[in-house]
Amino acid sequence: MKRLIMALVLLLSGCRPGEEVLAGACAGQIGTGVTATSVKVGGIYPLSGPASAYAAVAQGVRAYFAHVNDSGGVAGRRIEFLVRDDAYQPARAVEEARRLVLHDRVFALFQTLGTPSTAAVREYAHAHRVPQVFVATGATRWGTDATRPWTIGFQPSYVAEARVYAHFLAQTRPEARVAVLYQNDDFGHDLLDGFRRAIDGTSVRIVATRSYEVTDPSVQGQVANLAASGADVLLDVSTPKFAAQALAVDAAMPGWNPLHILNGVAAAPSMLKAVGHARVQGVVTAGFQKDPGAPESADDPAVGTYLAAVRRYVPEADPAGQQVVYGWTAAQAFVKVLEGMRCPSREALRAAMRDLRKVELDMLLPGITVSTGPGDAFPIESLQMARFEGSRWVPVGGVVDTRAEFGPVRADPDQGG
Amino acid sequence: MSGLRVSGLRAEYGAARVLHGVDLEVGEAEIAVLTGPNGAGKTTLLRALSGLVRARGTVTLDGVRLLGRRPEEIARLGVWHVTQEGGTFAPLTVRENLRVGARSGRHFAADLEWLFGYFPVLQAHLSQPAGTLSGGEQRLLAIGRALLARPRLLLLDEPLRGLAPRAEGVLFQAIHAINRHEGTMMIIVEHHVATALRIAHRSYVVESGKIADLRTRWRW
Amino acid sequence: MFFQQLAEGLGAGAGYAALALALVLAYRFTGIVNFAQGELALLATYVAWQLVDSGLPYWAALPVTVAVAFTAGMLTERVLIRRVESAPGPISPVVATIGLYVLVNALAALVWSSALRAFPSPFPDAPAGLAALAAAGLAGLVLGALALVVRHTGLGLVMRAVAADPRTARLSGIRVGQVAALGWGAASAVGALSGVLLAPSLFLEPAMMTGVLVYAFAAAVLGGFDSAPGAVAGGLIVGVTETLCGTYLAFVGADLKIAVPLVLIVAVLLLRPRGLFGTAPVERA
Repeated sequence: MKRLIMALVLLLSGCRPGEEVLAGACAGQIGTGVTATSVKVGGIYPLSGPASAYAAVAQGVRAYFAHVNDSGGVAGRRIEFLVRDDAYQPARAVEEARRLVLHDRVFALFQTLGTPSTAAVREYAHAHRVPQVFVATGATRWGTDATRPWTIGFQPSYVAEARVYAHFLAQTRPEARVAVLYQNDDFGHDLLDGFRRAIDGTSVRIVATRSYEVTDPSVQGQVANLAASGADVLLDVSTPKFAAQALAVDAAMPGWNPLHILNGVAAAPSMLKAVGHARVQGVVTAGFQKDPGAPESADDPAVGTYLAAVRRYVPEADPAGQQVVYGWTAAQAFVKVLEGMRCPSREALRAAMRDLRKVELDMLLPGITVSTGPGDAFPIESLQMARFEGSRWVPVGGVVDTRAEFGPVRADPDQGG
Repeated sequence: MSGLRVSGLRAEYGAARVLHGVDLEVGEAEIAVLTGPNGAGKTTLLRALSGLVRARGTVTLDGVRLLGRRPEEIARLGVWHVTQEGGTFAPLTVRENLRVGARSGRHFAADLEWLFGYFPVLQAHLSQPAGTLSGGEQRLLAIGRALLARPRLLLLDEPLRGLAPRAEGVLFQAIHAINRHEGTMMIIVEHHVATALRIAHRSYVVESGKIADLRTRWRW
Repeated sequence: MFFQQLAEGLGAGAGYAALALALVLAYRFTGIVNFAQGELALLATYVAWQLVDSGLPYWAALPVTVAVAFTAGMLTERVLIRRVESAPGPISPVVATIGLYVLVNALAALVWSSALRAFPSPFPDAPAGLAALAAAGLAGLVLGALALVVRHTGLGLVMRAVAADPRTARLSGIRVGQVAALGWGAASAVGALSGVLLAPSLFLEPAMMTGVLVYAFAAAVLGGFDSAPGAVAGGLIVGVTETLCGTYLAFVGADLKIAVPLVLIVAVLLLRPRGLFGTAPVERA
C-alpha cells in the first residue's frame, strides 16, 4: 500500500522517467546530476560565431570551479562543468540544453549567454523544471517575469544601468539635454525605456533619439543628426561595433562635445583600443566589477587569488578582460548558492538562488552585494560610474543602489516580461 | 588531306536524335550549299561542326579532328560560324565589332576598305553601337566580321534571310570574292536555292537528319 | 553641416558603388550573381590590415591587396564557378555563392577572430568631410582607370564582347573561360577597394560587409544590373540618400532609413524597368 501511495505521489509530482528522485527528508525532489562526490552543470556560450568575444566568460567560470575543486569542492563535491557552443543561435542553444539535460544529465544549466539564446532555453528549462542559473544577459524580463521561476539573471539589468545614468546626470548635470543613440531591438528598447522612466521627475530631458538596425553598415547619419539637436549628453545604447563608429564620429565633430555615456555592453577594451584611447577620454560608463589592472587592485588579495587562478587554470585567457571577471564572479555566486541548498535537489537549488541575503563576492566592487528574495528577482542592482582617463576606467562617485534609489523594477507591458 | 570531311555525324537535343549519320565533304576552296525542309537538321549540322552542339562521328578539317573541342578552339582552328540569330555585339560599335576576331591589326585598315567596297552601309555607321542598326544591317555586319576573319571554313546559316534583294546580290558578290581570292571553304544553308546555287560547287539536300542527295559537282 | 554630410554620403556611396560594380562585373561575365562578393571584399580588407599591421606602409599595402584580391577572384571563377555554371537551372550557382559566403566569413573569423579592429584611413590627417571626399575621389580615379582600360585596349574590347554575347564571342575564337576568370578577378579587385574605403569608418570585423552588400545590391538594381556606370551612379545615390535622409528627415527614423533607397529603386523600376542605365532586352518582333 505504501508503495502504491509512493508511486502515486511520484506520478503526481510530475517526475520524468530517468530522473533521480530523492527519498527521505527531500522526498519527491529531483536530484539528477548530483552524487555524493560530484555535481554536474552545463553552460552554453557562443564559442564561435559573431559573439565569440563573449566566450571568455566561460574561461572565468572554469577558473573558479577549478579553484574550488582544488580546495576540496563544495561540501565535498567536485564541480563538473560542461561547456557547449551555440554560436549565438537560439535553436542551437535549445539543442545543446536538451543534450545537457537528457544525455549528460546535468544538475542545472549554468549559464546561458545572450538574450535570444537565454529566452529560447528558458522555455525548455521551464518545461523540464531545470534551473537556469545566473544567465549572462542584462534583459529585465528575467527578473520581472514571475511565471518563469526556474530562470534567474545575475548582472545588473539594463534598467538598473539606465537608472544609474539617470542618477548620475541628476546629480552632476541636472539640466542635461540628452540625445540617445540606440539599437532597435529588445536590448536598446529595454535600456532606453528604463532611462526614460528613471528621469521622470527630474529636469533631465531627452531632446532627440535615433535608432539603428543591426544590419545597418554605419551609424554616421544618426550621430550627425543627434549632433544637430544641440544636446550636451549623448547616451550610447549600442553594441561594440556601432559604439566604435559612434565614438569615432563624435570625436570627428569638433563643434559638438557632449558627455558620451557608453553602455556597459559596448565598453569592451578591444573596442576602445580600436577607436584609440586618445579619442575616448572623458567617456563614462557604469560597472559593477573590479578591474584587475587598476592601481587599487594591486593590494587586493581577492584580485590576487583571481589572477593566480586564471593564470593557472586558463592560461590562454586574458585576466584583465571584464568577461573573465564576470565568469569568475558568477561562478562564485553559484557556489554560494550550492552551499545554501537545503537538499541536493533542483527544487532546493531554485529556492536557494532566490534567497540570497547580501552575499559578498570577491570581485564585485566594494559596496555591491548579491540579494534576492520574495519580490526581488534581481541579484545585483547596484553599479558605480567610471570615467575613461588615460588608458583605464577611473571610478567616479559612489556605488548607487538602484533598488534603494528608485524602488523595485516594475514589469513594462511592452517588454513582454 | 585538305578540306572538310564529315563521316557518320550523329547529334541529339536531349532525348531527340536530330542527325542520324551525316556524311559530307567540302574540298579545297569549295562552296557547298545545304538545302532541305525546315527541321531537317541543317542548322544542327552547322552547330555540330562549330562545337555549339555535342556530336559523335568523325569530322576533320585539313586532317585535324574537330569533334569534342570547345567552340572557341574550333574557331581558332579556322572555322567561323555565322548563326541565324546573332553574330554581332550589340553594345559595341560597328568598328569594334569588326575588330573582334578580325585577322591581325596590320591588315585591318586595308581589310576595312575592302569590306566597305561591298558593304558601304557599314562605313556609314562605323561609330554607332551595333544594336542600333537595322536587322539587315546587323546581318551584313555579322557576315562582314566573318569575312574579315579570313577563316579556313566559313559556315553561314541562312545569310540571305530578311535581306532586301539588292543586298542579296552584293552579299553573294562579297562571299564569292573571298572564296576566289582566299580559297575559303564554305558551307551555306540557304532556302533561296537559286541564288545560292549560282556560286556553289556542291549542293547537299538534308532530310530528316541525313543527306538525301548530293548534286553533281560543278566547276567554275 | 549639410556639405559635410553630403561629403560623408559621397564617401560611403563610393564604397557602395565599388561593391555594386563588383557585383555587376561578376554578373556580366558569367551570368551569376555573386552573393559572396562582400565577403571576398572583407577577406581582402583583412589581408590589407594584416599587411599594414606587419609594417608595410599603407600605400604599398594597397596595390598588394588589390593584386591578391584579383588572384583570389580568378581562382574562385576557375575552381568554383566554372563547375557550377553549366548546372541546370539558376539554383546551383546561387547555392554555390552562398556557400562561399559562409565559408569565407567563417575563415575570416577563424583567422582574425571577431574582435573589432581599426583600419587606417588613406588620408588620416584630413578633416572628416574632406577625407570622405578624397576617398570618393580616389575611388573615382581607380574606377576611371579601369574604365579606360576596358574602353581603349584590345583586352578591354575582348572583355566587353564576352560580356555582351558570350556565344558569339566563342564563335569568334575568344577563350571565354579565361576572360570570365579575368572578369571575376577584376570584380574581386574592385570589391577589395570597397572594403578598404569603408573599413576606416565602419571598423573591421567579420560582419562589416553584410549591410554593405545589401546596399550594393540595391545600388546595382537601381542602376540596371547589367550596367557598370549604372552601378556606380546607384551606389553614390544610395550613399547620399542614406546619409542625408537619416540626418535630415525627422520622420524617417532609422527604421525607415533603408526604405528610402528602396522606395527610390521601386519608383525608378516602375518608370524604367531596366534601371537607370541598363540595356533594354531586345525583343524580336
